[in-house]
Parts: sequence; C-alpha cells; structure tokens
Amino acid sequence: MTAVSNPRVQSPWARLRSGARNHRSITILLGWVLVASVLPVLVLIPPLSTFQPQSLWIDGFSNAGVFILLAMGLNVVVGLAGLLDLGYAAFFAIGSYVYAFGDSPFTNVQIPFWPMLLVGAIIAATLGLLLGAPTLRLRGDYLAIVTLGFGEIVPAVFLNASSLTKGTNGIGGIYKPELFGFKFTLENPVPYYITMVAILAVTMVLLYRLQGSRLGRAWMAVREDELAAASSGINTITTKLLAFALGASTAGLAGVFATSKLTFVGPGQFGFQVSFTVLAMVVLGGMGNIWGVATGAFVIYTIQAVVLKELNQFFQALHVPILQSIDFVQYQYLLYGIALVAMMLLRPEGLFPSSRRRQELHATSDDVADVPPPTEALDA
Amino acid sequence: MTTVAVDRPPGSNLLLRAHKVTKAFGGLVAVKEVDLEIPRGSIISLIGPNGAGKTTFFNVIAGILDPTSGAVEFDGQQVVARPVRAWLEPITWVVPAVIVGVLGVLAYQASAVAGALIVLLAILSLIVMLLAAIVRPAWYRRFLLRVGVFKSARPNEMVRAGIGRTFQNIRLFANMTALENVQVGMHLKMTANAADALLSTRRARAEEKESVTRALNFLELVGLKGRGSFMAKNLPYGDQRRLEVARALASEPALVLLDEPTAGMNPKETREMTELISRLRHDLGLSFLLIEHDMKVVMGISDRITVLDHGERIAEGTPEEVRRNPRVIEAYLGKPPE
Repeated sequence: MTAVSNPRVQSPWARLRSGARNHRSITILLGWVLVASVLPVLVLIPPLSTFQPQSLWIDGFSNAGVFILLAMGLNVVVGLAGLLDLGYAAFFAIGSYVYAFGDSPFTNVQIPFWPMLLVGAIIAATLGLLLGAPTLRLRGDYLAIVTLGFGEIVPAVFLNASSLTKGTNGIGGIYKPELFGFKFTLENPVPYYITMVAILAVTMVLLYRLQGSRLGRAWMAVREDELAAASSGINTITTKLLAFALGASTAGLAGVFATSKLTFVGPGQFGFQVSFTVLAMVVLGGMGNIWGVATGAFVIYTIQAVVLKELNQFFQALHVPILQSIDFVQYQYLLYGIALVAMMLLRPEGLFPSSRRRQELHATSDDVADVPPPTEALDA
Repeated sequence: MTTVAVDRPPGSNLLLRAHKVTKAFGGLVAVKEVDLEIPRGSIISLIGPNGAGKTTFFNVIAGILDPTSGAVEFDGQQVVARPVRAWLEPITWVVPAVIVGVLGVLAYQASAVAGALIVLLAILSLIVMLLAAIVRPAWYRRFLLRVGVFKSARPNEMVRAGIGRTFQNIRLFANMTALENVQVGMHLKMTANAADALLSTRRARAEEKESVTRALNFLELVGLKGRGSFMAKNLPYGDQRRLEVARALASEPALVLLDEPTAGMNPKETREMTELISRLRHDLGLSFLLIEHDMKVVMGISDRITVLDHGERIAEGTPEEVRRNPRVIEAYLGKPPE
C-alpha cells in the first residue's frame, strides 16, 4: 500500500485507518466507549424517544448485550471453526445456573458477582470440552443433530433435578451485583449497561486476538479442510475442542450476567428458540466477522424487542385495515423465517460479512481474475 | 502383528523404510507386502497403472490409513503399524480411577469428607485420562508405549516426525490467502498458545511477525512471490499445486510426499515443478517420495523407482533398469500377442 510506504502524503483518514489497524485492541475499546455513549443520547431523539423512555431503552440495550455476547461466542464455533452447533443455549443455561447456585439465598452461598463471571465462564468451558468430546468424529448434519440433543438435554436436566434446581419453579431471589458497596438495582439500568459494555469490549478484543493468532488460523484451516489441516500438523481434535470451550465460556459469561440482572433462572428460558435465535443472529450478521455478528445480534434483538411492538401501535394509530388487527409480536418467528429465507436468497453472506466470506459466496468461475487488492503487509 | 526387527547398522542413511506393508479393504487387497526404502536426500518414485494401490500405500505412510500388516519406520522409529494390544488402552483409562475410587471408599469409613473428596478425585482422573486419550499428547503416547500398546501415528504426528505431504486432488484452504495457507503449514514450528494469543504477549506478536516473513520466503522459494494476499482458490491451477508444496515445506519436513505433483499441468509448468523438486533436494537436502504418471518427470529426476501393479511390487530399481524391465512394460502395455 502506497500510503504506508510514504507516510507524508497520507490523508488524515488513511492515517486513522492505519493507526486503527496497528492498535486494534485500543480501537475496539474506544469504539465501544463511543457506541456506548452515543446510544443513550440517540434514543432521546424524537422517533425513538416516543417508543419508550430512555431508562427502558438502556435496560433493553443490556439485554441485547447478552445476545451479542452469545452471538460472538457462537461465531467462534460456527463461523471460525465451522462446527454447526444447534444446542448453544445449553452453555447459556449452565452459566445461568452456576450463578444461581453461587450467589443466591437458595443455596445459601454468596460469592460476589465479579468472580462468578470468571467461575461461570470456566465451568461452561469445562462442560463445553466434555460435551464437545463425543462429537469430534462427526461433522455437518450429524454434528448438528448431536448438539441439538445436548441443547435439549441440559435444560431437561435442570428441569428434572428438582431437588437441586426447584424444577419448573426455577430459582428466584438471586443476588444482584455489587461494586465497592454500590448496589445494582432494578430501578437504575445504567450500572448494568456499563458492565455489559465493558464485558463486550473485553470479549471482543480477546476474540479478535484469537482470530488473528495461530489458533485462529487453525480453526479456519479445520473449517476449510480437516484432512489437509491434519496433514499440516494441526491437531484437529484439540483445535475443535478449544473452539467448543471458548464458545461455551462466552455463553457462560452471558448466562451469569443475564441471571444477575433477571434475579431469576428457570429451565424454560433455554429452549431451542434461544439456540436458534443466536444462530440466526450469527448467520444474518455475517458469519466469521466478529463485529458483523455483534451488529447483527443487536439489530435483530432490537427488532424483536422494540420494533415489532411499535409496528403494532403504528398501524393501529393509522387505522390501516388488515394490518392493525395483526399482532406482530406474535408473528415474531414467522417474520424471522421470512427474513432468513430472504437473506439466504439475496445476501447469503449476511449483513456485514467478512471479506473472505463475501468472496466465497459470490465468486463464480469467471471471477478468477477478480482478486482482492493485495494488503500492505504482503507487498512491502 | 509382528514387530519388525531393526537390523540396520547404526548411523544408517535410511530415512524411511516400509516393510511388507499390506492393506486390505474387506476382501480387496489394495496393497500387498510392499517394501520401500528411502535413503536420505533421495528422490524415489512410485509408479504403476491406475488402481495399482499407489495412493493407498501413500496414505498408509502418511498415517491416514492403518495397515493390515507390516510396518513403516521413519528415522529409525516405528511410526505406522497394525495396532498392538489396543484392548489394553481402555483399561488404562479406568484403572487409575478404580484404584483411587477404592481408596476413597476405604477413606469414607474414616472421614466422610475425605472419602467424598477422594471419590471426586477418581472421577477427575477418569475425565483426564479420557481427554488425554482423545487429544493424545506426547506424555500419553509415551505412557502407552511403556504399557506396550502401539498405535499408528496420526497424520499430524507424522508431520511432527518430519513428513510433509501434498494431495492428488489439491486440498488447499480455499478461502484463506496463500500466505495464510503457508502459515498454517508452519503450525508446528510456532509455539504461541491460546493464552499467548489472548494476552497478545510480546513473544506471540514477534512470532507472528516472523511467521509472515518466513511464509513469504517459502512463497518465493516455490515461485509465488507477490501472490501472498491472493485467496488460494483464486490462484491458477499450477500456482495452487506450488502453494501446496510451499505449505508442505513450511513444516520443515525431512521427507516430502508428493502425490502427482504435475497432474494437469502444461509442459512449462511441469518443467518448473521438476526443477523446483530438484532444487529443493539440492539446496535443502530434502528427500522426496513421488507418485507420478508423467514418465518424463519420473525418469528425469528419480534416483530409484518402485513399480506397483495390482497392489504388488513388480519392479524396483534405477530409471534405466525399470524402463527395460519386461514386467513393467507388460503392466503398462499388456502382454504381447503370442
């Protein structure tokens, strides 16, 4: 790239870009600070401010954060390592129950929220290893079915071990986080919001680092061709297990946070819809692209939680004949299905694809000459 | 299985030795008692009509298939053979857990807490052994050998031993750049683990930077300079073949297995590939095992040739000897009419 070789003719924008590339972690953190400070202001602007008060918006953003976290974790398993996991909610459930056991009057244990974040992630990762181990020889459809089974088994265990988990009733009254004597409350969503943003920013930095590392390349190699990866010296088994464990640990984090916010956990929260929703977020957002997946998750969650409700009121206010009698929230999954079909037909690489994947899905045989511009490091 | 007695002089020049390798798929014997020796720094070719069992033999050497009988030694160590005492392996997983478990039950009578802890330890040891069996780290393989269990090396362990390979139908990582393909080949030469990557340690960053430089060198070596940022699938066919060679070289092997390296190439590309192989042998002292149909290539660069037909070795010798061998001519052209 010419801009790098003679820095004096760089435009400010180009300089910013190359700076961002060289200091990726700082850029990501700054980006999150920026987004996190703009969003609460943005919802004060008219069309958005009429939907719901700012505090509800902020509360919704931290809930969206849970799904962003889940989507980023599943992206490691599905997008990077290419292992189709349909039972991802199992690890979300494990994280949630770990917090419920570790910090609630039910078990009479009171470990603070912050170490529990780590504990939840580690326990979820360990179980990810154990659940991943039997699936290692499977790929494609077979792997999907086995993971689907795990996704059903884990909530079923929590449901039926009623002496330990209170079964269907779930565990309530779970303690809320506390930081240096400052207590998080349901009335004030801001502390949760800030915590979520911090978790997301750190997770994203770590995931980007992994993706660009030796391990990230091994994941991609396994996704592309397992035999060739093994013949290049990659232990495909360890590599796949690590993908499962890292994906699971992210879901465990999400579970701990979600439970601390809801102060309740029950087996009904972790049905197939959760796994499916997160997978749809990953696919619609742009598999393999971390920030794309995060944005996709945010967009989908907002549509689901806010836009559909507003659509009802909008059509009712206008007295549109048929549309005003439809409850869009009820048709959520129908709309999901339509969106998925439409996306697969029109933009199979997702809303914000990685450059890699865009090429993969749009390349035709006569595209061979149409190669990407060489990046700076390689031509130097 | 019969363990092969190693009766070669110390400091021998032999890099790989396949001894009476047989591979049967059900009733079909694809490879039958084939011997092969590869001295250090030599180019050995494996030829034969289609369906002669060349690729099967190749896959046995590369650790992808377990032989029905026979063994492969690499660098004086037996790496591939039929499993020995495989039934013992599951027992080794359970034995530590059972011993600790029994201790736990005994301790339970003295103190319930200690007993419960020890039983927990038993479960933990079972999990560790099972995970070790799946991942097969080096200590686990050494442990198995000590117990007397032999299992063939897996493909990735063969790379660690020093064997690189390419495939008959190109198997690149299509949606990764040429540079990344080579970097994947360097996997075993790099040491950064997940923790290094997460913390972005100085060591990991330096290693990453160095790997790019070295990968570019490998690309230059095979004649792909300036193509590092191309997606592997976007490269022309000949370049894809060369990239596969570069990826195999990146693991710094002592022996490179090339499965039809010039298949589908035009005469110019074929000549370049032949030159590349000779140059690599000369400059880096590598040994090659080649499967090849192009007789011009085979006769031009091979030190020795092994001919397979219907899974059996019908001839072995220098190109000149093989060319004149009546059985080889017969295998390729058929019996002359009586």
